[in-house]
Amino acid sequence: MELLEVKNLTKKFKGKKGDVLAVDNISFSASKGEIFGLLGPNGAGKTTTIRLIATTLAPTGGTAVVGGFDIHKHPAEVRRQIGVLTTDIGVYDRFSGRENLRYYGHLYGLEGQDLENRIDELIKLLDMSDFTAKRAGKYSTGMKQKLAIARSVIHDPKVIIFDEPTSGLDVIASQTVIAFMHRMKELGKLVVLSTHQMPDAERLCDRIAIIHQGKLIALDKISVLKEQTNTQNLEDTFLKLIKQKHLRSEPQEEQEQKKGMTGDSKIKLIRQIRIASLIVLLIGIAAFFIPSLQQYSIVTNALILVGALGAVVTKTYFKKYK
Amino acid sequence: MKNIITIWKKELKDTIRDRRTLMAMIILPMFLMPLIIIGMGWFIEAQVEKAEEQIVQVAVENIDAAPAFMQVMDQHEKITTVDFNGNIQEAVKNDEYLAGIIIPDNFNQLIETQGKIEIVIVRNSINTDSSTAVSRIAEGVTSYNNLVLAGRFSEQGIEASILNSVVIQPEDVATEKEVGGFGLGFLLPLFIILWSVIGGQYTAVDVSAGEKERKTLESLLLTPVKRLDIVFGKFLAVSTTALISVVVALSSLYAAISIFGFGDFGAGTGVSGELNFSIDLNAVLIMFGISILLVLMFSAMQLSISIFAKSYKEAQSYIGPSYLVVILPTVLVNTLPNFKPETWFFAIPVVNAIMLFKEVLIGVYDVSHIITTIVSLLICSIIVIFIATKIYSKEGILFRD
Repeated sequence: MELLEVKNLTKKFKGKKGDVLAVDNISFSASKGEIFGLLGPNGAGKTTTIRLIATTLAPTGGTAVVGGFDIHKHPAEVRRQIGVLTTDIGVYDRFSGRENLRYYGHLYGLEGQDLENRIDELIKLLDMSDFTAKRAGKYSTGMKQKLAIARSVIHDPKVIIFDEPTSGLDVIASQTVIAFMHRMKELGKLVVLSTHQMPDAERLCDRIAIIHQGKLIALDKISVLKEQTNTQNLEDTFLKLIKQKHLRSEPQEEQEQKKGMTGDSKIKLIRQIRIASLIVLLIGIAAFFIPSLQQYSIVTNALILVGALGAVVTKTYFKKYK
Repeated sequence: MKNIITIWKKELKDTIRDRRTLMAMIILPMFLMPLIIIGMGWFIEAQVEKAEEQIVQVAVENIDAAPAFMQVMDQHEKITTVDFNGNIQEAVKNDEYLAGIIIPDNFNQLIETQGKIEIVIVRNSINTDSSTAVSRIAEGVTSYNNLVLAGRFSEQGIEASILNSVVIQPEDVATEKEVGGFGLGFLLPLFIILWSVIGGQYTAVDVSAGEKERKTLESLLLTPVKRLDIVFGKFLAVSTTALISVVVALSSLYAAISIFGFGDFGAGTGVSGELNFSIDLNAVLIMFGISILLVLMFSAMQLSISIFAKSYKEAQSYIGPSYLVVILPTVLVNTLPNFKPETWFFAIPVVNAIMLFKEVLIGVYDVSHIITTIVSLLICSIIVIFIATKIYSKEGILFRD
C-alpha cells in the first residue's frame, strides 16, 4: 500500500479580487523508501499542498491518505504519521536546543528515558552535540536548521516532508541536510522534498511532480521526463514542460501600492498631538490624586478622558502612517 | 489535559525567561505602585508641612498708625511684618511680599470710639503662598479682636470666657475599619483591575503574535495536539501570569502601607495617617475570587486580540485601547460621590467588580450584588474564552502572511 496518496486535492483561498485557486485538483502517490520531489517556482502551490497534507489547512476539495489515515477523518493521526520541516524555521529562542526538542517530544506523547534516548540519537545523527545545551537564540542559521529538522522527526514519523530545506544554507549545512534525507530513505521512510532548486532535486529525487500555478503538469522519474522532452538537465526539462503546457508564468510580487501623501509631516503632527495628549493625561492623573483638587473631580476626569482618548487615537494613527 | 499542562508549563517557563514579561509581571507591580502611592502621600504631607512651617512676610502700609495691633501681629510666630511705603499692590503682585496690610490713619481713634475699622488686605490669589499669608493675618486679626473685646468686656465687668459660647466637639459614627476600607476603596479596585490587565499582556502577545513572528506557530500546529488544547494551555499561562502580578501588586502594597504608613494620601477622603486597614478574611476571599474571574476574562480577551496580529508590535497597538475600556469605568465609578448603585449595575462587567470591592472593603456583604457580579463575570469569561477558541481555528488568521 502507498504511504501517501493524494486524490484530487484542491484549495481555494478567498481573496480581495475574487477566489484564488492555490491547489488545483492535484493527485499523486508515493511509497516508502522513496525520495519524492515536489518541484515548482515560488508561489506554485507547493507549500499549500504540504499544509493540506499536514492538516494545518483544510482542503476545499479532494483528500489525502497518509499511512492509511484520511486527512478529513483522522487529522491528529495523520499528523502523527508525518514530520514536516517548514520553510520558516522558527525555534524557541529562550530555550536550549534540548529543551526545544523535549517540548515537541512531549507534544507528540513521548516521555522520560525514551524521549531522552531519541533526542540523543538525533543529536548524534545531525552532529549537534556542540550546541544543544546553549539557548537557541544564539544559534546560527545552520544550527537552527538542524534543530528544526530534529524537531520535525522527533516522533520518528513514516513520512518526512521537507519544504525548501536547503534555502539560505551554506554548502556544509546543505550537505548535512542532504545526507540526512538519504539516511531517512535508507531507513525506509518516505521523504517528500519540496524545492525550486533543480540541482538538489536531480541529485536526490527518485520521482518528481512538477507543480505550476496550482496544477500538476508532470509526474514521473527524472530520466523519463528528460527523455520525453529530449533535454540534458532537469532545469531545461522543467522549462520545456512549462512551455509545452502553454502556461505563462505571471510575476509573483505584487506592486506595492504607494500612498500619494508624504507621511513625514503627518507623523510629526500626530506625534505632537500624542505628546500633548499624554501630558494632559498625566496632569489629569496627578490632579486626581491631589486631595485639595477633589472638588474639581469633573475637570480631572475630563482631563484623564481627553488625554487617554487622544493618546490611543494618535497611537493608532501613528502605527498606521509609520 | 496532559498537552494543556505541557503547553502551560512551557509558556510560563518562556515568560519567566523573558525580561520584558518579568518586568511587567513582577518588578513593576512590586516596586512601582507602592512607590507611587507612598511617594505621593509623603510628597503631599511634605507640602502641607512646608505650608504650615512657612513664615510669611507681610508688607504693612502705615505701620505706625496701629502699634497695639502690630504688636499682636508680631506675636504671631509665622508672620514677619515689614514697614512699607510705596505701591503695595505692585509689590504683592510681583511676589516681593506674600500679602499686604493697609492700616487706616484713624485706627487708634476708631478703637477708642468703638467704631468699625476696615483694614485692607492685599493678596494675590493665584499664588497659594499668598492665601496662606492671608489666613495667618486673619488669625492675627482674630487674636487682636479677642484682645480688644476682652478689654471692653472687663471694663463692663463681664468674664471674657463668654466669647466662646459654642465649641465644636467632632464625633465620627464610621468605625475605624470603615474609614480604612473607604480609603482603600479608592486604591484597591484600581490596582486589581490594572494589574489583571497589564500582568498578562506581554505573555498574551508573546504566546500568540510572538509565536507567529518567530515562525514557531506552524510547527506547533503540526503536532497531533488539538487546537483547543493549544488555546487552553496558552490561555492558562496568560491567566497565571496576570494573577501572579495581581497578587504581587497587592502584597507589596499591603507590605508598603504597613511599613511606611499611608501618608496623607487619604487626606481628601477624610482618612488620616493612622489608617486601620484590617480587612475581613471574607472580603479578601471575595476579592480574590472576583480577581480570578477578571483575570480569566481579560486574558482570553488579550489572547483573542493578539492572535489577529502578525507581529509583536501590531499586537501591542491592538491591545492598547483595551486599557481605556478598563480604566475609564474605574476612574468614573471611583470618583462619583455617594454613588448608590442599583442591583442591575452589578451586571456590567468590570464596573461591577469595582463597586463590589468598594462594598466589601467597608464591610457590606450584599448577597444579590455578589451573585450578580459573579454570574455576570462568569458568563462574560466563558463567552470570551469561546471566541478565543473559535479564532484559533480560523486558518486565515493563523496563516496571515
